[in-house]
Amino acid sequence: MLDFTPAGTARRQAYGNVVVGLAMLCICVLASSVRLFSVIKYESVIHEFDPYFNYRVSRFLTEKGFYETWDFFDSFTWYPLGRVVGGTMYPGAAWVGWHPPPPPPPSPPQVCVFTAPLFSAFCALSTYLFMKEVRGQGAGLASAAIIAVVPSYISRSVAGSYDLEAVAIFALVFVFYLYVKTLNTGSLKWATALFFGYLYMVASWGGYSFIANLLPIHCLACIVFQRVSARLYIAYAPWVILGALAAANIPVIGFNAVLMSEHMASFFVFGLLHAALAIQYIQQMLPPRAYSAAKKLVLTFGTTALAVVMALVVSYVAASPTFGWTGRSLSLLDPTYASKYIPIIASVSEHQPPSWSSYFTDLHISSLLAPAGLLLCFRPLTDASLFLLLYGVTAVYFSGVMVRLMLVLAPAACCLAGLALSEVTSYLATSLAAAQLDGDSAQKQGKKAEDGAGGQVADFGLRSTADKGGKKGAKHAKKSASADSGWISDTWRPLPKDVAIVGLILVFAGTSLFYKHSVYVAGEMYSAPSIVLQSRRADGGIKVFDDFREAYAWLSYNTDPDAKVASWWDYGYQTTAMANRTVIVDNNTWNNTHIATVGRAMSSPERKAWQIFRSLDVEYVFVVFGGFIGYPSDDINKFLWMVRIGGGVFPEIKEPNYLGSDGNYRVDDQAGKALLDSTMWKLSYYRFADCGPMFGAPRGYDRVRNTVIGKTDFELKYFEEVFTSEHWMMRIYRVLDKPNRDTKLRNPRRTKVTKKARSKRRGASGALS
Amino acid sequence: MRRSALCLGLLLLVAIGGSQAAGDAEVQRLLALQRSHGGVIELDPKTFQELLVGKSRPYSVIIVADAKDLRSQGKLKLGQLVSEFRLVAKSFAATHAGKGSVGSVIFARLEFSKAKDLFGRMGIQALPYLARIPPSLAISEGGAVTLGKEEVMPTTGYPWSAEAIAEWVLERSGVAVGEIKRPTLISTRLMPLLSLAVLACVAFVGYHLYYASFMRHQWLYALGAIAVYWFSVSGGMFNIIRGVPLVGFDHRKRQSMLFMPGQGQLGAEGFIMGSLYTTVGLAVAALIILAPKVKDPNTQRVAAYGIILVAFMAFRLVTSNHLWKTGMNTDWYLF
Repeated sequence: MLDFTPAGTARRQAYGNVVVGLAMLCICVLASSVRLFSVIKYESVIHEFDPYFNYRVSRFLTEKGFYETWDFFDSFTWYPLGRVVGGTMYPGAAWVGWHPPPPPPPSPPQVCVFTAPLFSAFCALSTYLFMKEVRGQGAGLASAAIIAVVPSYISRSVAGSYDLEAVAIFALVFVFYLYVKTLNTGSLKWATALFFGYLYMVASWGGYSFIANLLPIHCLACIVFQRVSARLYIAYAPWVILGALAAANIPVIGFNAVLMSEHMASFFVFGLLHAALAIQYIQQMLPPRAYSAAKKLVLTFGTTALAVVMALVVSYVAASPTFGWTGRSLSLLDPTYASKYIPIIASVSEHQPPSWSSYFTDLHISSLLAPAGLLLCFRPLTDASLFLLLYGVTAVYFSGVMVRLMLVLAPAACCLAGLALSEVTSYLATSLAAAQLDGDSAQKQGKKAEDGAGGQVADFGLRSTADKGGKKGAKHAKKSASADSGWISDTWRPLPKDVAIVGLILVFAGTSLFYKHSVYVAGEMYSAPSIVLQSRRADGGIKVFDDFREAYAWLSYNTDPDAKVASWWDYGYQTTAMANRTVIVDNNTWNNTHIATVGRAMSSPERKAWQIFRSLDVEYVFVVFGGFIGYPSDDINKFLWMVRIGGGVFPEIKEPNYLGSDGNYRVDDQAGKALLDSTMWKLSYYRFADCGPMFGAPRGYDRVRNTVIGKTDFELKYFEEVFTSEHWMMRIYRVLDKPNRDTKLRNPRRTKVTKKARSKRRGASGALS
Repeated sequence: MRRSALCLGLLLLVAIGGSQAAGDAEVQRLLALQRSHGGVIELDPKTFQELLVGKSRPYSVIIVADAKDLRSQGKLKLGQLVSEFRLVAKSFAATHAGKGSVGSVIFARLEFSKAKDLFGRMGIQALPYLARIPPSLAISEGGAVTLGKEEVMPTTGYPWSAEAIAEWVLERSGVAVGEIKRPTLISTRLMPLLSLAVLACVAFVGYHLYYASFMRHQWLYALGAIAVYWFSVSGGMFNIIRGVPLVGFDHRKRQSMLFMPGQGQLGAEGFIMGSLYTTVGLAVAALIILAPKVKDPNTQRVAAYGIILVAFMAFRLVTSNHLWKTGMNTDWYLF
């Protein structure tokens, strides 16, 4: 039996805290270690594209120091424009990667590789703290256990993924925790902490604008539902002013913090909050009749003044010559506009809208439990749970527009699911315990135990204080039940033992499936560094494709340090970081015209491309080609986006010319003429047909498009092949000073099929059949 | 000699003049017909006879093919095509009204259920189909109409806007359609007044809603939150942005399909799966919120088992469908 004296309760509380601490430690270790698959399966490298930029900034920071980084002008990118890196980046991740002893150049510093797993553990901790503030320890533990392995977050935070999001999601949740903590305590100490947390968030990620709009929405909801209090004021008002100052101090935001429309909501609600508090104060001060008279007066005057102002504005707008209500201005209100019509945004795969299966892949059980969490936020509705509710609803709405925003939804879904999971487990476990107690007390002495049962049951669970009033225990419930009508009563009663056991087993099974799914996804789907590829051979061994690094190393050892290298923008960061050469465009897509110029060169015929590249001082051009080994995300598959982005600025490039006669993008003999003539085609397929067919495949068979290419034998006149990597994934060409004069020479391998020979061949095959 | 040549010339002139007069009357009749059909002549065997059959005509005919049964296929966008086509016809009529060129191009629509044999005679295999019948093409009664490849609008760049159609018409027939005037919902002059009125209405309704008692019920907001959640996880935005139809059509099996394999989704598929997601959540919420309040222990047991069963089945359906969709067979990594 349990000891219910105050001392006993305190001791159990202490034990409970120790258990929670140990559980959190395990969760943090789990959160970090599940992200190490990439290091174990591949090696300790930095992944993808953007992390290479952060790595470069970190290196610069380490070498030159903090203030130099603020003024970092990078002449290695966007040649000949250069890029003001200090003023156009979010430095939060780079700060973390500051590493005291400069490492030897070939290996990236381990601190950059392991930043993401470390911050995932921090994120689990801050999720626990956040949910503890919202609903209590149980919900906190469950949420932390879910967010530790939620696949959506893993996708951006495996070891080596030294990305903005890797640190920013932690910062996001931590800011929410600080806000809710301030809201619950009303202490200025926490408001100050909120400022510093927000400062780090603003420095880390452009997604801070989500916070900058969510907090005003929460405050507005509090005003509308008459929940305004001094605590809300202390949490919200200092954040608006100091937060704007914090944002203005980050160069990339600067004065946008007060000029851009996405920050306007916070100032508007700031004013509204003051008005609401003033009204509250006046209402307390004046007698009721005077108050209603004053209200009427203010309303009448306010409406009249507003009407006059509106009439003036409208007449001014109507009188202006440029008056017009175009679809464009309305489309600003449409969140789907960018992902539909702006090619440079629509071309990025993570800006696509997700289908239903993405939610289950990325969130698994938390996407199923989240609706329950949404409902549980109303029982009881506190300021903190209202915040969680609003966070969940807005995040899930925006995640529907872009897959990328699934990352913002992930913490919300985990918190909501954690809330539901903890409540359902608590209810089932409490029922089981109540049944146990019932059995015990029946065996001993009936009457004495009956009175205690209610209190004992209530002490068992981790349920919130508000719900405890409802827990009266089985016996008490029975007594009052007769007073109620219908089959629903107001009293809380535990489930029968068998149901509770079945329920607990199912909860356990569901959570296990979630863990199985997440660990598997972490291991198989999200660990590939994308700079090194693997495939399984038939004998079970692993084949490694290291073509990217091979080509970057070739560039860095065999070209002039001042050489300019052109490629599609995806590879810009990697080229500057790994090959240490100047690039024309990179993944920071700040200048659309410059990108369109490269797109135009790639989609133009050789001569024109040569002129463009020469005008940009380009010496080397490389393309990524997957047709040889079947690597699908190569430049030929990205080519239509080059055409679209190029055509958006240079109207002479027309997409229909690059499509086949049936209107589809194809590379076989039905391909569009402009595609066959384009430089991208020539650089990708140059000498491809001669490299020898695969098992029985015809000559010039492309393994990605699964077809024989439309044009096999051609010579290059303005470019010269200088390097092709082992698996043909990277092909580097030199831009010639003068056009090649050998192109008219006949290809010695080519056998021209004459009409006569063809008919002869046909006859032969006919004879065989 | 000279006189006879003059006579011949005169005769020719008279003949041409006569035929021109007859042609004019014919064109006027057709234009009246076009007006009575609302701008675009609906082709059936009778109007086809009147409009097209003959050795030559003094006008080009632009024909759009349409099929009532295929209107529901979202990707084809036939409804949009026909409305854009009508817009072109209307703009043409407005630009050339009162001029001699008004009858030089006639617009017509060919609907499958009304004129099946005409589809066959024109050799229309697939939609969308938009073609010009040149004036010089001889069309016999009941014979096939063979058009050159260049007289059929290429399907690249589909869906065609009215502007694209107009450009093509100009390119083929040499007659400009003129500026396309899209009907605006409300005239721009009224817009400020209207917006003011709308704003006032919104303010009025908002004020009254704020003080309405039913707005204080939490279930209203709970319902809203669940609805937003359901819409988003269903991929509702995916449906809107990609413009996918609710139900697809399987050409191999020749039947409609609710679920499509591979990437992407169909509208109904998304909503079904979104509902299953939400069902699991709602069942769990019911177990926590409703089950403890059931009075009778036996009813409570049955209700709780029922809720658990619903949650379990929905979960099973979600996992099995997800496996079918993505082929993601996960592994325990234990053995």
